[in-house]
Amino acid sequence: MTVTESKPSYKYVGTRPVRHDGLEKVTGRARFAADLNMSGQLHGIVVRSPHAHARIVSIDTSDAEAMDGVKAVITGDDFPAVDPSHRQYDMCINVIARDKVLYEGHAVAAVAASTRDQAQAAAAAVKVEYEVLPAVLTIDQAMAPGAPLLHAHMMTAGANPPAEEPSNISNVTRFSGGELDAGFAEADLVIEREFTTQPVHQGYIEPHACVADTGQDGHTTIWCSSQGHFNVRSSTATLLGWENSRIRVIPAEIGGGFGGKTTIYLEPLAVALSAKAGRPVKMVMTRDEVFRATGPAPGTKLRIKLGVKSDGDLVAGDAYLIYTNGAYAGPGGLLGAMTVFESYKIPNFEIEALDVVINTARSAAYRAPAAPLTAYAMETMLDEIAEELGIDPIDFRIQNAVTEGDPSTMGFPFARIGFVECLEAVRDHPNYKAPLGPNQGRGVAAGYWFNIGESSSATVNLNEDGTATVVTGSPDIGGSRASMALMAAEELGIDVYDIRPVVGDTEAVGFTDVTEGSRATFATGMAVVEACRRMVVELRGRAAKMMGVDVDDIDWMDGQAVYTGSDGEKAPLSVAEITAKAKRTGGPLTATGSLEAHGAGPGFAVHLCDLEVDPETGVVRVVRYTASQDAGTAIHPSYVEGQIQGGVAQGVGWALNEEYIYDSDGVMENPSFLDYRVPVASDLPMIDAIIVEVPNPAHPYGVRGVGETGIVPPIPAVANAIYDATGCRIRDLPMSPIRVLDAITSNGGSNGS
Amino acid sequence: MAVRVHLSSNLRGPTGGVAEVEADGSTVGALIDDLDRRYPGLGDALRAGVSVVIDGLLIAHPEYEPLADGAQVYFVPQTAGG
Repeated sequence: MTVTESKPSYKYVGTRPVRHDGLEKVTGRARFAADLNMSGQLHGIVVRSPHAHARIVSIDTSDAEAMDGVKAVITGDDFPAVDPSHRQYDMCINVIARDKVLYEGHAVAAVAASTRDQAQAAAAAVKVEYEVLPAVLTIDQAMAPGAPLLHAHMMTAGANPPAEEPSNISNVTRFSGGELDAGFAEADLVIEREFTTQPVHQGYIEPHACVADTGQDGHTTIWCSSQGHFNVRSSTATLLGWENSRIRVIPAEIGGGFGGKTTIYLEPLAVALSAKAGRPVKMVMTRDEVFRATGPAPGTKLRIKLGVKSDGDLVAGDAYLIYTNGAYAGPGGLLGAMTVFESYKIPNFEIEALDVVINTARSAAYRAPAAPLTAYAMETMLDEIAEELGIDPIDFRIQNAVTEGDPSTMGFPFARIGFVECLEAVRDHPNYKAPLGPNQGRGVAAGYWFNIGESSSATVNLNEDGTATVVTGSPDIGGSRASMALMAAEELGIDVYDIRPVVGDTEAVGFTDVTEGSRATFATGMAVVEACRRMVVELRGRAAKMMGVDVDDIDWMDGQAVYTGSDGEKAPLSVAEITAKAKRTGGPLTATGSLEAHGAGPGFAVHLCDLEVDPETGVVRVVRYTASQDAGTAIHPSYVEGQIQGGVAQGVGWALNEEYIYDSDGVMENPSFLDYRVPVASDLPMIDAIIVEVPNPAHPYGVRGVGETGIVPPIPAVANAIYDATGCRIRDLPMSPIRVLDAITSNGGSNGS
Repeated sequence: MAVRVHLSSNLRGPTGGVAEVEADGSTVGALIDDLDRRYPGLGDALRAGVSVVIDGLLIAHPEYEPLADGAQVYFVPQTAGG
């Protein structure tokens, strides 16, 4: 179902062709990083720390180096020293530890051998002597007076007055507006609630994998799975102290990323091993390694206080947010502060957000980083207030929703946004009034995400027969190839199936930033459109030559050069007719577009969750789910719906089951999909996606990114539905069966309010 | 070019908490230089991972972005994504 504002009539944009890479993926022909094998390749294995916090006293690799099949062993000493002031210091010492390990699973060495078994045996033979240090595993431990420090140099950024001593608090962010005390004094109802959440993993199906082949000329080629191969190149170059030009990165297909593959782990190790051994080196993480050493999204402690008038107007908000970013500084608190009140008009507010380091794996981005957690707190509290005031929860949100011209938390006025339209789309959907059965409940929640622009490049090559290739630098993590082909088809007038969308390597296309921030169809799409429009200028010129007329008398209409001058009738020329004579009119037809995309339009989503709670076991089953989201313009509606549905699935897992569990020493206890439960297809009903289209004026087709916003509302939507079904407000994630059951059976059926 | 500058609340330390100030600059970079002259220390804060919003457009790397006389420039923290 699509709610559409009036928009131009497009021939290709908004249609649903089969994705160009679809058949290869469903038949198994598509090649992911672990599918690549090279003649003479070695297998690399990482030696990882068994301790959450320890000083590395010594590493003895001699036994490992003497073992059968072993061709290379490396440690942190094989990489240039890096100063804490370096912009990518954290990334560098996370890829391979130097003097300290900061979490269980931290890489300390790597081995390459002829077989994987030999490499594993050799890795086990690397002798690392540790001085074990006290581990800091929780926010409270990290912030306690006298807490062991993870980083001796970490001074709290943003502290006022400036920090004088190092601590485990990496950053403080404060936003405010209006007069908080006056706002609460004006309120008729004030509620304050606290929430806790645990780290969760992005849960991509494909583990990190790469192959590196380093030649004697000092150049290397890397095949890998990532969300941005130019970032793999630059980060690997930084870690090795190499020039970018010595590294070529060829993107493999990606088996899920969700933000977790916006950074690197293996590639510099594979390159260094390959350089030392003189052979290609393949490295593939196990699932256990993926859990222990990559990802997760931050855990939090959140406290929010809201004030509201009896007529339903929000008047005051006070938020205190603490995010753990694992062992290194991260942006969780900042992003939480920027999202917590962003969707609503709250004239008086204060937000303080802290980022705290603890001895767990370094956090990585996960779809709309930080926002699902602030939404969990904020949207469940709004639900409580709406009930207290006797106002429909959607009407209450509409009353307070930001619209065009309203100030954001950061002060700037919103441009055209579609939040109210998303709320109305769910309110008006039949599912909002569908009857519920016994033990069933319904919850509504909204979500917001910024979306970003950044740099993108595209090249359009017309082939001799009039078909085309569109090369971009954005790995396709959600159907972006199809989007690029559709926009090119619309611009050029070439059938979408006659356009081959390709993800080019770092030597085949211009620089392109990581596929993150829901930016591929927005920003890389703009580069494609720019390249196509340059191509059209060229095609008009070639057609003018062929017709013997002035180029100003040639228009481009529906894939043809059309003469509009007054010198009689001339037959239009198709793309194929022009390309067939390209040698005679100026040579090959190619055009590029490279840009820094401005004006990423914010995304809003509103979700409606119906679920059933088993009162005897606490098991929650989602029975119906409806999700609206503003896509600006849906270039390929099926993949917009897919993004919405994927966000819902991951958000439901986050709400109900997923959490990192550590023992008292900081060792992860559930590093497998058996013990870390992500939703599978049979856990979820078909998710009814409603595409709302409020075009983004900054994009030639009105696109807003859609990849992330869909994960923001599910946690509070589920929490509100559980409350509706049981009368219990659960303010700790996950809302696992034991926690739901405990809430039902304790405290008279409610865990307090 | 006279420009109206709006600072998100986390950037107002050097202005003594003032949210809106006047400054001059034909580009965002020149504007930041002028702001630093008027409010010492603000320049460093604005060059460290700050985006701008001008006429509703979010611009992540605005140093050379031209400014019209009377422009309204909002400085905001840079965002990331997944």
